[in-house]
Amino acid sequence: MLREGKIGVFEAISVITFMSATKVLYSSSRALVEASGTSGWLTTIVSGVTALAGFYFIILLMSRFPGQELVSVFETVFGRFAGIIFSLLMSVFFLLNSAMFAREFIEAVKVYAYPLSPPSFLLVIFILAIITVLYFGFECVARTAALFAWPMLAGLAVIVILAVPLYEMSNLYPVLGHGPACIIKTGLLRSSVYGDALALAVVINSLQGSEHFKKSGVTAIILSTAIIATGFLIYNLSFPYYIASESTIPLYALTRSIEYGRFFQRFEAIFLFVWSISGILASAINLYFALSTYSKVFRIDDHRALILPQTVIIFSVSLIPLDISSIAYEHVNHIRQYGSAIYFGIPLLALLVAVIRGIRGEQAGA
Amino acid sequence: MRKKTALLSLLLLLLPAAGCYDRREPDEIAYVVAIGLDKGVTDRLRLSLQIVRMADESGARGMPGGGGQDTSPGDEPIIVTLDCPSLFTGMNMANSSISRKFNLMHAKLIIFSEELARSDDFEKQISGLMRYIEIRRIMHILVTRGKAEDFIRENKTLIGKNPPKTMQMLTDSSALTGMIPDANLFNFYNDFKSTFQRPIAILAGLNTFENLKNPGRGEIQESTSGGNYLAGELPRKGYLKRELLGTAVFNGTEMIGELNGTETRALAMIRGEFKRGFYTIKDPLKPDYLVSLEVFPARKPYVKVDLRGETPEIFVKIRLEGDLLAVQSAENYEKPDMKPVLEQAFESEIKSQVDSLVAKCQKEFKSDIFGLGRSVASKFLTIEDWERYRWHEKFPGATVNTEVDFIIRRTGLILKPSPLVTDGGVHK
Repeated sequence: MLREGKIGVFEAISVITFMSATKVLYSSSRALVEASGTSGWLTTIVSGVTALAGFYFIILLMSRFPGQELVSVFETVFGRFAGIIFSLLMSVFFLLNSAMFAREFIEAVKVYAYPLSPPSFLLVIFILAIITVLYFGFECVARTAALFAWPMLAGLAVIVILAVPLYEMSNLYPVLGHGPACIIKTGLLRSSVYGDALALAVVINSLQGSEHFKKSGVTAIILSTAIIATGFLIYNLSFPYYIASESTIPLYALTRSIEYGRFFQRFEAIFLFVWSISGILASAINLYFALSTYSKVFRIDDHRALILPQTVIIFSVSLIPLDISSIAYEHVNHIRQYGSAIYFGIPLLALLVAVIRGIRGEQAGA
Repeated sequence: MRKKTALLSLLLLLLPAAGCYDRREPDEIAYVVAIGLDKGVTDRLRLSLQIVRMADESGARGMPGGGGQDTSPGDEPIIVTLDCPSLFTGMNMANSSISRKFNLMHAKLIIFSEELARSDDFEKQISGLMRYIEIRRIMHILVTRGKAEDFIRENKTLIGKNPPKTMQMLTDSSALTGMIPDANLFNFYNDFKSTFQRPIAILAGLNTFENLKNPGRGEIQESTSGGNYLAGELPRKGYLKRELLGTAVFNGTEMIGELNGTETRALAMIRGEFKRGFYTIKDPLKPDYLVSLEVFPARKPYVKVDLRGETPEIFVKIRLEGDLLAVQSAENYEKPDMKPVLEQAFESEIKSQVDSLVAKCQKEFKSDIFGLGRSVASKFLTIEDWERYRWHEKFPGATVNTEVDFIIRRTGLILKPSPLVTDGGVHK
């Protein structure tokens, strides 16, 4: 049995928030601005509320099976074979997320910071950092996330404050963007942005009971929604809607535009710090959940044996997209739009099957 | 031992993380401080790059080129001009004579010739600029009356030895005088594609010093604003020919007109960008005398929109405050019952400037450079409804009413001037 150690609520919230909120620092936020115009911040709140509803079903599912983590729940509900399929599907999805974070990061670094460095060189450095974090296990991953949580929040807060002179209220007009129907539809479709809270169910035994699971998940979704909505709000405040959808990395473009006289310019250095730490952590955390799910499916006791093979897979998968356009317009966009099926669809299906067939966990039935 | 080796390996990883492929020594780079773009003769574009001088390895002021190939004499700015298809290819072509790699990260000014700004090619140039990482949107955008190449050749540093600082301070005068707009690439590009408003740029020019008439040939202007000139027309002489004064107005993707310094101040007041400026008006009680004021914005302008009628109705209230600088007549405008006389005179002067500018932009330019469309957009709930309204077509027919509110806050070092004395020694 995989020994993952114990973590507290703050660590759990940090882990999920890094997985979810980091997305606002990447290209997918541009796609949301394009889809929703001036109402990106409203749309992502709809996504957050939808994710909270989805997480409620995950809570219901897990409360039927106390003491069991998600992989084991799937096996109990669907049977060993189908359970493995669903669990592996989840594992692959985490892996895909990790690979796309890595590739998006590398492409963005190529565009904004290191144009002459080969992508594979940058990727190797990125992956070495991931391996280092993962080697020491889930506790190390969670504590690293908790350690960087406050500096990251502080970094974002600095950007929010420094960008104040760029804010123009009229950039938020017309306030409903492409209309209420678009806000709701796009918000529902992109609720997967906050679906990462599902990952807590994979490591639920590392939390201090089901109350901590609920508290961590709900708080992380609310916190991530607040961070992402703030990101969109300041971006929408700074750029009119017809320009906002142009930037490859919207928040990077915002920090590049900040200036305070002759001496205080080029604040993107702060963004680079927030961006790289968040990117590495988000990718590492996703990869850990891929490893954890895989290890639990195949009853592997030590996740370290899988780190190297999985990072080789990450390296290869992240180099599959030909260019930044296919990453932004296709791969990442598809992950955001259809990710809800994995994050909320499978647990909801498991809950329905469990309720209909009257399946409960051993401890719950005792 | 294993832990130490692991730690050492991790520390070694920091070295490539510093970006060895992208490493560039500062003295391997030619830093461009100003970019000039004209219509080309043998190719689409005539590109002029002004490069900053750097100290060489021995500490002496040297040239960015190696082996003396790039040298130019004295303190003249280093300028490369060539015809090329685009800015980017142009930089590569310029590298045939300059050994350093050009870098635009510290460019402060981008200067378009009026000929280029008034042509269809301008749109292509602006759209093609914004994608490149080294083009920083905080650089200022200028349109020069005449050739950009000529402007760059006269873009010298008179005080101090720091061209980037000079360039930056040049455009900072927007906040000091209000006679040029604070037009950087960020704002220009936002307005360039805007459904709310039209873009503006700083108007530049070269002064030939011929406008400073010799005694006996001049004619005193009726206006006292001091800003009724366009760049290059100021009656002055001495040292630098370069001049920034006024605004280049765009309608859609082309330049369509110019505003002088006074109009630019009125524009800044409506846009809420006016910071401060010295004003001189005729003394309301003794028109042969002048009164000078330093004026600041009291609050952001208030804009109210009514779309119920056939044409949009817009009400703009400009709120200013100021200090007395000089009263030639020695009238006691400091007294509470006299202050309103001067305040109303100033309000009326500014209102007439603002109204005349609004009329010019509606009738002549047909271009909302005030950003009034931003307030109109607040009346719409969705982008589709707003874009269907077609604000740019509605603006020329809109009814724009203005009001100016001005209060004198301070009276300088004098609170009650004593009267002037006549030839006979009697107080006037």
